[in-house]
Amino acid sequence: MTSSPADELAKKIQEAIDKNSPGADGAIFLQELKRSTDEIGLRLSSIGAIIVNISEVPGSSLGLRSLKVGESQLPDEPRYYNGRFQHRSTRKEAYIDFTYPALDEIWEDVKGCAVLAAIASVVSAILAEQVQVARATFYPTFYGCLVSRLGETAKKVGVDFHSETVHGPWHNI
Amino acid sequence: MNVLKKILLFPLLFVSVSAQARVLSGDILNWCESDQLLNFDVVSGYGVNSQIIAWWSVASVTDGTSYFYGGELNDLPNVEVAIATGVKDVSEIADAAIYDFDRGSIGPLEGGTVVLYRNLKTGYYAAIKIDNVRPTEDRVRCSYKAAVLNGTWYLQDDKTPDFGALGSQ
Repeated sequence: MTSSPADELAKKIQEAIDKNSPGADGAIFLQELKRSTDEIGLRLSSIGAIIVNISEVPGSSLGLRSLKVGESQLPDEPRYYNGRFQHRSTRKEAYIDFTYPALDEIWEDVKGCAVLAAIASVVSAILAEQVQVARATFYPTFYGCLVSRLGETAKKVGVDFHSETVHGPWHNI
Repeated sequence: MNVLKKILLFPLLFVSVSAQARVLSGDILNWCESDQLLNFDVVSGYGVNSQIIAWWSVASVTDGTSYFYGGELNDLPNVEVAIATGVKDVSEIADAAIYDFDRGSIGPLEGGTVVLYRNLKTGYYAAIKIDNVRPTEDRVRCSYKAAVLNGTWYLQDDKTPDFGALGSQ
């Protein structure tokens, strides 16, 4: 089984992150990260027009906060129901989730770096549910920024990606 | 026929139905989105001819939000729907007629919302309290989308818009 360049890159970045012991400094971490990302280019698949618009998700729980980073309008969902043709709008939203025990204390730095790193290709990858690609695209800029601001603490900040499908109400055609 | 089957099957989803005083009520468990109908006359045991039929569709499973519909989309022009704004418990509603009813859709609605129904022709009022919307893997029963709603239904059986009797039952 062959893996894509993007998968390879994601794997190398993850290895770079994993390889750094708690004692390693941020410079080594970044150096390894940059070396990995320079090796292979990225290939992304797009799912249509992407709107990048970053906003905080309210109601985040302790140690976990999320940013909505963008969305894409999908084709209307049609159906034939009760003798009528109906449709409803469908859009997909992209989110980045951050975890750290004392996340509130470093949130402004995390958010600031996420804004820099959450470019359209990251949003596109999240919407396409290509987590490996999203990781490979987002990590270098995000962690690079965060290490420069927080040093060793940056490596303990967890990042995950998810998408949500949101529907409008049904309408008769 | 398919729609009829779904209407008739729906009472099987209820674990309890209580008929006391003037407001009938029962639990709603795992109500499938978009194509499963809740016929208040059926779930209340055929003792009332309200001709109010409800259905819902999902907005976001993650947020647990939903839309509810009046009769416009399923050829029940006399059925209207409204949000009981500011109401946490159906027994707080002394006059359901004061709310802003619509024949189309309302939403997106969050868990905890009380949805009101009325049939302009029969004069009956009904309500649904939404507890939550959850994802489901039940593709057999929920033929359309993988979301179900849990809550409670209420039917005022004397045609008044007063649900206050619920608190004294």
